[in-house]
Amino acid sequence: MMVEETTGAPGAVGITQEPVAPEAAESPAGAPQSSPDATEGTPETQGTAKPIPLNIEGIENIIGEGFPIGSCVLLITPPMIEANLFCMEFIYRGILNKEPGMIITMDHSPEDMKIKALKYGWNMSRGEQAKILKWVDGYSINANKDVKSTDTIKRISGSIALSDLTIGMSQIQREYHQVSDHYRFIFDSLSTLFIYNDATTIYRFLRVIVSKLRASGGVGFFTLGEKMHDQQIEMTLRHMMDGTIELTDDLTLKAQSLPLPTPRKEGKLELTSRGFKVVG
Amino acid sequence: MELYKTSIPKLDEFLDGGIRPKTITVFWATPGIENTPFAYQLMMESLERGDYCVYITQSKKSSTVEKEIEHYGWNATQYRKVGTLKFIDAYSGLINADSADEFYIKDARNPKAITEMLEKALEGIADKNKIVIFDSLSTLIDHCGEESLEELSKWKKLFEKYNAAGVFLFIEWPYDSKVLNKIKLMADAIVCLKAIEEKVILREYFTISKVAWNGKNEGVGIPFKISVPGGVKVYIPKLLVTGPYNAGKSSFVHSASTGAVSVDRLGTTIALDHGHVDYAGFSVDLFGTPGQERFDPILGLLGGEALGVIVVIDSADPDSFVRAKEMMERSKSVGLPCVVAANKANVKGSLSPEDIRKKMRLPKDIPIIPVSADSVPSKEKGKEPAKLNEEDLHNVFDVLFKTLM
Repeated sequence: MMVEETTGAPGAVGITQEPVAPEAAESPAGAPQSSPDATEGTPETQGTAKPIPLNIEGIENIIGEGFPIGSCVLLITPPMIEANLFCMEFIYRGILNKEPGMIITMDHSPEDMKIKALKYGWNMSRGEQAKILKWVDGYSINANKDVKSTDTIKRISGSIALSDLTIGMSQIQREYHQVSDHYRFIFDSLSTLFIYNDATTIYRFLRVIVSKLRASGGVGFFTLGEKMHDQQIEMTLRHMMDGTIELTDDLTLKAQSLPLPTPRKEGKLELTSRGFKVVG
Repeated sequence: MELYKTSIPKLDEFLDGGIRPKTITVFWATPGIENTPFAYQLMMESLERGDYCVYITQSKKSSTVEKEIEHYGWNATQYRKVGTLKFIDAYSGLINADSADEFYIKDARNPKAITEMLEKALEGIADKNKIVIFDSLSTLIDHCGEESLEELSKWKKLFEKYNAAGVFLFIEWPYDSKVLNKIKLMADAIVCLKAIEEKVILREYFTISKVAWNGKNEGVGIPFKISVPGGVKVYIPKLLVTGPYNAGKSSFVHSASTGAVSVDRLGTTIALDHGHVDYAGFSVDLFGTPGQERFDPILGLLGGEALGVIVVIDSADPDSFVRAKEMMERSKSVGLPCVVAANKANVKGSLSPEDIRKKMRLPKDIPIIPVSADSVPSKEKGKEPAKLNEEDLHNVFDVLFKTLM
């Protein structure tokens, strides 16, 4: 925070002198500290700390130690497979380790997701009470539910409100930055965004939020419905992320170009009453 | 000519009093920074003084906008009911939903349809003072295509025809530079909302990149905070409150703040007082120093990075004035914007501001404001700070904010 003379007003002081080059002052688009790419994670900034394990039973046998801090992984599943259950277990296991979690939900209300999680013994409220679980809810308002934002749930008005979505995520990132060098996140799902926005809009949005997630220490998944989008979209998304995991109808998990080398390319999962585990 | 004030300190000054009719002002935000509270605050200021507002919403339902405004502590619904606030719903059509709004654009991907509806809304209030808020330009580009920006020249003509002031919200996603340049050319004023960002957004500030009606292009960034309730406030992250032992620093911090805390022992501060003040469009964090000499080694630490200083003195104890000046030096606050709060001004034997200035040999540009206590705690209670007069405290802040800005 600097205190310097303002131009053209002798004796007056401004609170900050904007730290931009003269040409950037003329051009708001040119401000370097505002550029979406300015904070983009790089292989150099990722992977310097110990990888974050997924803590799903036996999964290290397929994907290895986990993902480096700042990893954004695409999780592709067929519509019948509940990708959000896999993701919620990932978040819940983090909460048990006191790792903060952020859930961006576009298809279900947080309340419904918490009930669903309880069936597997995952008490997500535990994370909320400890202030290490926060939600961005892009579903409830558009579903005409009479809801308001709370300390743990930021409600936004739906899949078109990409700005509000980014603001909600940024606020959570800011809070977690005070308490941890990383946090787990899930974004469920990208497919819903594609229903209401064209692909270019979503790519622009992803360029910004993926770089923010990487820079702020996020580790987690963007979910995408299998065969719901044309191949070009899927290829572009794979390219934008740090790796891809596919979960097939028969719960085969396929690891594809993940940030760290994997012991195996695929393995079989089973969903038990306590969550997922690797069985083959 | 009618001016539309933002009611945000410094911003209205940058805009020479406010936004002009027949112009377009863009609140241009970096992704992750809220620009809607700026528009809400401007809109509520205008509605409260009897002006009209047309709000074109393309990112959310009008009922959601109303709820958001309510969240900040303002009541927009009353103006909607009496008809001074009108919504144009250009959102529901994008998600194939119905709308109960009077001005509903079913074909929301057609910018010409928005133009027609806008004219219809403006025709009904042609003789009124009015602003038009468009939320948002980014959604227009995303859903109607970049070529939809051509339509904005027609909107500008409508603003000229109907004497309306246009306020557009824009998020700077990574658009093509041609798109950004078009918006820059079309806008008469651009208020940039930016971030100091490392791993996360650390601080937000606004700056002006263009004001066509006064030629300003300010490089100065003003930090802001968005309070709920309260809206946009200019944020001063650190004001130092210092002064001799028993002058009333803790009383000042506690009386001025909501939820102040002190690190104290037996009723005297031994580390610091901290409080937060929301007043006159400013959001301020106060840091109070201890007064006893044995804490002098930490004064420099406490005073570091302060943007201004309030020196609290006991007006009835001139012997302590030397110590007050010494503390200013030790806390590294000499040269910062400064106000002397002359406490205990209603106590017998207290000196007048003129006498204090002479005794302290203060230059004329350092204001001295008398401050009195409304209530002094009984000796039994002892540890509670005195309650200082609210008007006196406001006088201190008014003068200091003026100096700071």
